[in-house]
Amino acid sequence: MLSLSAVQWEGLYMSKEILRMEGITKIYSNGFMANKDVSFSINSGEIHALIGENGAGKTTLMKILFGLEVCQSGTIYMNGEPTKIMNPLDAIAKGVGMVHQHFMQMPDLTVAENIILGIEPGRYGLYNGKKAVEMTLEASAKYRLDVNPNDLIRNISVGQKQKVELLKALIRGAKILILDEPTAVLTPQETRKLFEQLSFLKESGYAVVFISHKLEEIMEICDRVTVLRHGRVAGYGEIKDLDELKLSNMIVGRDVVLEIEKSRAERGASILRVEHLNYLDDNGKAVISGLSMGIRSGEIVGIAGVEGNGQTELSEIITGMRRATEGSVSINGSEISHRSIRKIRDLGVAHISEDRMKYGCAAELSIRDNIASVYLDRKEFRSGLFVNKKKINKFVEQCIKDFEISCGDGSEAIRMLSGGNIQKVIVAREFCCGANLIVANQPTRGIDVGTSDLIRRQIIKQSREKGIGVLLISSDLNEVLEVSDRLLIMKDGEIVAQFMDPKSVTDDMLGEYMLGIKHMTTEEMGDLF
Amino acid sequence: MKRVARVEFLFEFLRVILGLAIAYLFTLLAIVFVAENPLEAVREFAIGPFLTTRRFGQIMGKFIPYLISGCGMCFIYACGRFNLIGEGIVNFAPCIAALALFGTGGLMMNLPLPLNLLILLVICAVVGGAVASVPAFCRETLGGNETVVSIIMNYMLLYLSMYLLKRFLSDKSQSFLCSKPFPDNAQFHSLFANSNFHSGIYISAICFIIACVVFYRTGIGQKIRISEANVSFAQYSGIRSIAAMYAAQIIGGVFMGIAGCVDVFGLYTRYQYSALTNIGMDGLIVAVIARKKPFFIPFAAFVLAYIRTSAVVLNLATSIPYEFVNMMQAVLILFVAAQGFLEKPKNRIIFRISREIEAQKKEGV
Repeated sequence: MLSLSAVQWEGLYMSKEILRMEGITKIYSNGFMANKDVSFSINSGEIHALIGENGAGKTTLMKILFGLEVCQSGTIYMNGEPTKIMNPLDAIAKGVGMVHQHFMQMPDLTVAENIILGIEPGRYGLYNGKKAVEMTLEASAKYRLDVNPNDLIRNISVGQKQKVELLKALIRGAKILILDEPTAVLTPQETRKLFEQLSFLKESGYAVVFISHKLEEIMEICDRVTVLRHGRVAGYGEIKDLDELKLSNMIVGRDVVLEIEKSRAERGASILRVEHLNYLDDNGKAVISGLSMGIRSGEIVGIAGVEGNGQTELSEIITGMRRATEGSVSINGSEISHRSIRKIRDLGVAHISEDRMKYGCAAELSIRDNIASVYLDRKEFRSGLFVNKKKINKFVEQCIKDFEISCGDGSEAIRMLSGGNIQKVIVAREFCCGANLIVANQPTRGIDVGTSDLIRRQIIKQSREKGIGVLLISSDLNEVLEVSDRLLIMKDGEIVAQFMDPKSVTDDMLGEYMLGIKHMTTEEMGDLF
Repeated sequence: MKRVARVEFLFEFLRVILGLAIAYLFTLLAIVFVAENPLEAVREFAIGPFLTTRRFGQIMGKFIPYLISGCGMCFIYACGRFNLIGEGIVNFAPCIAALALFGTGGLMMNLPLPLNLLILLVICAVVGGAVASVPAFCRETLGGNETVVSIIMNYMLLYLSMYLLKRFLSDKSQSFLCSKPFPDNAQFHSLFANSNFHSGIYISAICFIIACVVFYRTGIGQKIRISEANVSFAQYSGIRSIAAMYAAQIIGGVFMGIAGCVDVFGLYTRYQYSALTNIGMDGLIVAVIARKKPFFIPFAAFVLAYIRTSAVVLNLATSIPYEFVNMMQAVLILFVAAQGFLEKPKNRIIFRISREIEAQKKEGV
């Protein structure tokens, strides 16, 4: 086991490679290869960004480093010595700490009790509460992470909770800190404060792995970056040699996106109308603020924006998966605020969720069951209490054929398919249900180029041939620019810009609005409905 | 990925078969070590239950309620709930049916056998469903723990049944606590040689068919399976998953009530339960062995009935206690339920396949 004293660390830290992961390959027990020969290294006194789309393999790589997963091949070197990390306790003993996106804390215990949990001070089995408070205050001062040891966790802000998480790792001697999307839950002020603290830790010789989707934050705080795509390293380098555009190229593999031809949209009647929508999250933070917009039949409305600016919440409110705090949402003239998901679907809404494994499918069930899930109450697929298996089978066969799903007869578990084919199943189910509004949230994220192209073409086909209105939310800028008829940009839960001809929009223009540098006036935006 | 699916199916099948074989061998070895006459003991254990009509009848007498309770537990267990209320229902539902039988002023005494049995079955089913809805309500609506509530309720139902038996049903002429004898037109009669193999087998068969049809062919069965597999996906699809969870637990309760009815009016001539029967827990064991799939319930129920009867036969023929053979049941469940059993060889094959697929992809590029 490798455990270093504080003095040893002091001597080692100055810009020396502290960790190297070499040739890491991780295969899950369902045969999915999450990391393919990945190499990653970090120096002491460095903040290293690890970025990539969801499903690119970043979390798996960090889980391996923190001992939560075991890799099939590859070696981890710490200070040049090959080492094995057996479990999280082992990782902590070797100086690796992880701050998860969802904090691991006991809400009914105090800050001090949470921080010293597992390393409680005291003698003869008796807990010394006073000493715990002292330890917390000492660590708080040392690392400039200001917390009140006697506050109950349930009474403190999210920013404070994150400080507690950092202190938990630091007090256990962590020298390598893994932060999984640390700013996703923070307000801008809290984010700023966190960056100051991280800079201090960096100057003190700590190595920080910073996982984030927010490119501007990466440009601001990080020194180096490693980009993962489809489980492989797609690029790495010094931040000073890169810009946001180059980073996004590396993340999405922009050069392979194909040009799509589409006819002019014929806008018809209003299908979706969102007015003065507000949404506060569980922490009381405003995620959507006074948002108004609409979609007409036959048009594709794209929403671009840095992830975490309210796009997901908007799509989930429209589809009934969340309840709005204020405002109204009408679909085909019917207000939906008190309707169930089933009723909203019956109004003519289809939904491609951004989290395809959590919401989009049931991994253990067959392709047939996954497609049938939204049709179980449809008269055409029922004979009394029974599901009309013949009709369902025929329908599933047609879906498999039309959407070129690479599988057998549809009876195999959906988890056996590749990510692209799973997405095809979801798209087939949602596109064939007779809806006149499709909410597609990240429909091509983390899937292969061919499938992405098929899905984009299907979106255009549905809108042009059937007059369906589509809300397309995507972090792939090329996709929203190519596919959308009208483009909206979201920043901090608001629509900050509207472009009626997305193809004419340049990346620079987009960037200025996405980063909040510019904000169109109501007059400039024009009619949002 | 089809290759991975095939490997997974093969290992799933192997796990049950190998688990059964290992458990059986383990028990045989243990018997050889402790028996005074090992050969005789092994013979009695292995084929003893099939040697006489009466013993085979005993297997079938256990198989009949196990089949029904196994189907019931499949629904409850398949929706991811550990509602153990079946145990109490098996005691309570037939008690209410007996109250109706003796308390309707002789009305049911003169009805034809099939109609009488149908009424008893319906009463037990309704009581079972109603009782099962209580822990379901505690879980789905109040957010309580259905396992704790159902275990507590099992004892409440046992004592309530005994109170009703003492207060309204007891036959004072008998030296033990029991009801008056059931009339002939309210019993599942023995099918041959006065053995425990009774006509309740037809009810079991019907229940099995209904369970398979409901589970695999109806909308509610589909909704239960989807809710169990991924509750977030079920909600996203517009399925009222809480309603599906309620339905699964109530359907389970209905089957449990029928299991109790068939057991009481098939094996006994009076209502005489004064302790929990274990049929509910055995139903859970059957569902575990069948891996929550109603289609495999008859096999699992027969295995359990055979083990239990072998234990009795062995106990009678040798000095080996009944509980000793329960080890086999424990070992069997250990292997069938343990996800880790055969995991390493399975993963080795899957990893190899994944690497081959990846290499093929690379070559393709």
